[in-house]
Amino acid sequence: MADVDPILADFITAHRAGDGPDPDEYLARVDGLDRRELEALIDGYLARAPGRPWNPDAFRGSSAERLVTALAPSLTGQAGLWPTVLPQLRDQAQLKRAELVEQLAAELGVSEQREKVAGYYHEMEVGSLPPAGVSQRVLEALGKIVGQSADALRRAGAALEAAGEGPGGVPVFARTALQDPSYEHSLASPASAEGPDESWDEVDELFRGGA
Amino acid sequence: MPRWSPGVRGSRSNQVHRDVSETAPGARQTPRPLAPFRKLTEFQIDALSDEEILEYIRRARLAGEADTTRVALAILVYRHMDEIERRVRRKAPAHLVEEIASMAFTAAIVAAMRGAEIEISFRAWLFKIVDRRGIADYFRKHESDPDVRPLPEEHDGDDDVWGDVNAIADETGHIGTMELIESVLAELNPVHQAVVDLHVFQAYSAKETADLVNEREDADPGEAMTEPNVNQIASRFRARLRAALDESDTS
Repeated sequence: MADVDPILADFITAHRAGDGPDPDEYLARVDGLDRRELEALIDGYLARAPGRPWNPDAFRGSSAERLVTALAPSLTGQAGLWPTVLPQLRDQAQLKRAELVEQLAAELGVSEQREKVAGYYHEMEVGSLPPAGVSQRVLEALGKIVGQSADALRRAGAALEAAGEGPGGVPVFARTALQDPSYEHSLASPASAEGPDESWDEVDELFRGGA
Repeated sequence: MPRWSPGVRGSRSNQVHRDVSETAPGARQTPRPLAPFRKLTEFQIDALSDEEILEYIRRARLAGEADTTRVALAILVYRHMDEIERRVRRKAPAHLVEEIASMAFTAAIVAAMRGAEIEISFRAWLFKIVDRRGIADYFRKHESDPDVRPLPEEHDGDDDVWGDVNAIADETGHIGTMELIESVLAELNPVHQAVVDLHVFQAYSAKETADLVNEREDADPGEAMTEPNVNQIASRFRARLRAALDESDTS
C-alpha cells in the first residue's frame, strides 16, 4: 500500500497541473494487487475531478463540437435519435442523401414521387417528422439500405423525454436554420398538411399514416 | 441507499464549503430546483454542476429553447470530452476514439433525458459506459460483422447500459473498478462516505477533511470528526477495497 500512495499523489499533481497524465504510465510502476488498487484510486479520483471550464474558442472545431452538432437536433426535435443516427448510417453506407432517397423511393415502389419522399426523409433526419406516423414498410426499406433492422430504427426514434413529462413530449422547435433550402419546396406539402384530405396519397400514408 | 455526493475541489464556483455543508448525501441525484425556467448566460451555465446542467437541458427542451439547449449541451460535453477520450484511447485504436467517446456521451445524455438516475457523478457514469459497453460492444460487433455498427440507441436503456449497477461483470467476467469502488463505498454510512470521498479520492488532508465534515449541516456536535478518525476510516476503506479487488481477481 505504501508504494501506491506516492504514485497516486504524483498522478493527482500532474492532473491538477493540466498535464493530462496517462494513467498507464503510472500503473506501470507497480504490479499485481497494488496495480489494481492504484487503478481504482485513479479512477475514483478522475470520476470526481472537475472538468474543463468552458472555452468557446477551444470548443470550435473540436470533437466535442462535432458531437454536439450531431446530438443537439435529437434533443430539440421530436424524433428521438433519428437526427443523430440517420445521417451517421447514411454516411456509413456511403450514400448521399439524394442517392438514399432514390433507393428508398424505389424500394417503396413510389419512384415517380421521389421529391415527396425526399421531403419526408429530410424531416426524418432533422427530427420534425413524428416517428409514430412512419410505417414499418418505410423503416424496413430504409433499414435495408443502411444496414440496420427496422426495429433498431424504430427504437432510435423513441421519445427522449422521461415518462410523465407532458402529453406530446417536447414541442416542435423552429428549425428553419437547420433546413436545407433545396428541400423547401418539397417540405411545403407534407410538413404543412393538417391531415388526410383529397391530396393525401400513398407517400403520405407511408410516412404519416403509421402501421 | 443515499450516497455521499462527491465534493468538487477546484470546481467552477470553487465553493468547497458549499459542497460539504450544503450538499447532503444523495443531493447529486436531486439537483437544486431551477424553476421557473430562465435563460442563463454561458458563464452561469458553466458554474452549474453536471447534474444541474442536465436538469437545465431538460427544462430548456420543454420550454422550446433550442439555442439554449445546444449551448448547455456544448458546455457539458466540452467539460468532459478530453477525459473520456483519454480513457477510450487507453483501450482502443486512435481512429475509433472519437466515435466511442461520442457513443458514450450519447447514451448517457439520452438516458438522463429519459430520467435515469446518476449515482456518483456524470463522469463516473460515462466511465462505466465506456468500460462496460462502449469498447466491448464496438469490438465485438466489428469482429462479428464489420459492416454493422451499434446504434447509440442500443445503449441508452436503463437495463442495457446500467442493469444492476453494483458489481456487474462485463462480458469477460471482469468487474469494473467503478463498480467495485461504489460497492465498497455503499457499505459505509454517509459520513464515512464523505470522509473517503474527500480524503481518499480528492486528496484533502486529514485535517481539511475533518473540518469540512464537521461543517456539515447534519454533523453531530457530540461526535466531531478528528484527524485520527479520518485516517482510520480511510485506512479501513483502503483495506476493504484491496480485499474486494483481490476477490474479484480470484473469483
